[in-house]
Amino acid sequence: MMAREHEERLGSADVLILGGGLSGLTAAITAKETDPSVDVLVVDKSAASTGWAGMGSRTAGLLSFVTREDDPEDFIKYSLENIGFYLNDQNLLREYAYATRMIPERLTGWGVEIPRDEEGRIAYAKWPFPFGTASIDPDMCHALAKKAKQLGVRFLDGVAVVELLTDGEHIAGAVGFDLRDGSYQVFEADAVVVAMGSQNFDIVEMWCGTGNGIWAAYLAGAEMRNAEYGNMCDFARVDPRGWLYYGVHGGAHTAHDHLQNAQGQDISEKYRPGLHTSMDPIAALAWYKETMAGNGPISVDLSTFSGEQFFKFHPTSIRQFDSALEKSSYPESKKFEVVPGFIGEMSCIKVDSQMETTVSGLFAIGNSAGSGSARGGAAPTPPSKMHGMGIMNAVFMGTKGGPAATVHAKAVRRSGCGRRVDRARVKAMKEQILAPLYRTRGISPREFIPRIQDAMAPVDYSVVKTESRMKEALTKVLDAQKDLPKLKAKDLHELARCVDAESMALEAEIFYRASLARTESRGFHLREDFPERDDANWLKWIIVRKSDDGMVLRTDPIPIESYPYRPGG
Amino acid sequence: MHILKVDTNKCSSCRTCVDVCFVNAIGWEENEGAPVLAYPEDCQVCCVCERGCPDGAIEIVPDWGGRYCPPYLSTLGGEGR
Repeated sequence: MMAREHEERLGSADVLILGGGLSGLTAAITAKETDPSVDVLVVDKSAASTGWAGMGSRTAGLLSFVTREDDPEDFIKYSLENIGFYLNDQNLLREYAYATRMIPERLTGWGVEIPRDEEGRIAYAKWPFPFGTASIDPDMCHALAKKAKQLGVRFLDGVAVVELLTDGEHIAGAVGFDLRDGSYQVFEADAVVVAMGSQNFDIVEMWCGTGNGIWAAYLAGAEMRNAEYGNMCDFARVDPRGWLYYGVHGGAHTAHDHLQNAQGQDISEKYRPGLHTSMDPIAALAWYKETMAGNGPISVDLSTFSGEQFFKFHPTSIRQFDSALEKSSYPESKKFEVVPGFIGEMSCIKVDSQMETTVSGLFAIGNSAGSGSARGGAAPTPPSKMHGMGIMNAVFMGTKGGPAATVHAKAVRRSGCGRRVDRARVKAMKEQILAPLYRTRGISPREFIPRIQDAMAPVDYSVVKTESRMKEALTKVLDAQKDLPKLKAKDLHELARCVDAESMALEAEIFYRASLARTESRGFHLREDFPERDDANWLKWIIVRKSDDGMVLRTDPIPIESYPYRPGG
Repeated sequence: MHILKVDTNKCSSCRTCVDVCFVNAIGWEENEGAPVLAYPEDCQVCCVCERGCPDGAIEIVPDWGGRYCPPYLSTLGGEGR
């Protein structure tokens, strides 16, 4: 069978939403709430129509927000001074601070279970920071998918969208393939919303987003912002038998606050004293410095934990945790070695306050554009350094992107300038997308992907950065990219992994080029060769885009003079 | 490699597990009328498939040592630890 023999199916929608996880479903619901007559189609590789797509069901079920006891301005100032370091879009940050107060009730109205207190108000734990955290049913997407269907949202499950279609500077649709029968799918749309998750390079279990939406948006000409912040990391537990347990399987969620060197010294306190909301690269720096100084192995001693638990998780979350720990087989021990586990959370599609990218009619939300929105500043996509802000951010961006895409689609329809899909281009893309299925020789994505993982995972490449080490990593990425034309797929699932391989290879390059360009340290971008924050020269965003001459970078100044808060008061 | 164990006495062939898997790692064995972990290297051991199975018929058995962990320091080789 050749590529041309794959059946071609044409679909259309006013608003095409790519990705049916939490942010995509939120966008679909709010699009319909904005105008019930708008035709909304949600396309996902997995079963979005029944609420199983995306990371939602695999999260801890935390929903953080600015509580009634907090002043939103305190939240803004805390975010700027401790996490974003003034790389934030302060207008969007303020909008977010106030919106978080309304979103829990909005989710409840859509059928999502969020436990309440005796007075019927959303129950939450209040932290010594200007926000609190409620528990939320991790299976929230089931309720949201049901609500979306009630409102008339259409779903197409089992389809991998690969590339976007443009008509000049405007979005026109997308193309992809059905994972079940290999049919080539062509979509025409007046507005497209990318909700395809972040890039995590498939290293840590459950943070398995492979950035397909970021890749597609970049190829379509959308600009990227804050790509140097795609380097979230946490700690993995070391099994004495030689392997690692990442994430929830390792049970090392708060390791960053309890690190000890081989002499039993508290290095968390030594390098990052005081209270912190969550993990940050200083904890990784602590691990790295102590290890390089010969003070390893670095461990966590659970017997030093207070053991006091005052946060009440949702019962489904508890089942998730218990299940994950049951599957782990590490020896019972209060004290265990930890090493860095690279997560990524690269989310660099640049969007404005309406979640529109630099391509007219193309929107991006959730983990695809968390950092690109600049709302969080010098950090990966939320949650970044605030547990519970991941779900909140996904919903917030969805509630903005859905209505904005609807209004845009209406404007396009009203103007009569329907976007034209270039049939010749669609045909050429079909051959290109399906080509790996018909290569008789080549390399599988399973052989290719570890080469990119090896360039991203080392903490001294991607988290504790230097020019020489980053250039070494970038060289590995560029060498690997030369083999992309040789990718071959034995079946449709592997064809989707070829798309993952392409996405990872591109985004690793974007990450390192942006990281090399920022010659300072700020937030999650930490450089040993430029250890200080440089507000005089670096209150700027680094923008990356595709041009006819390849990947180009520039800087855009942050309009700090127009914001209420500036460094140094 | 991770394994999916199926109790075929309990499995009602509803295919919920195939839908549940957000990385499309679970396939379907028509002859058996039962699920199979078609792409074990993609399994995230999230175990939502176990939770979602209405019959309690499936179990993920992880093989932690059999999966690739990229190096966490550039000075180490590519063998994991």
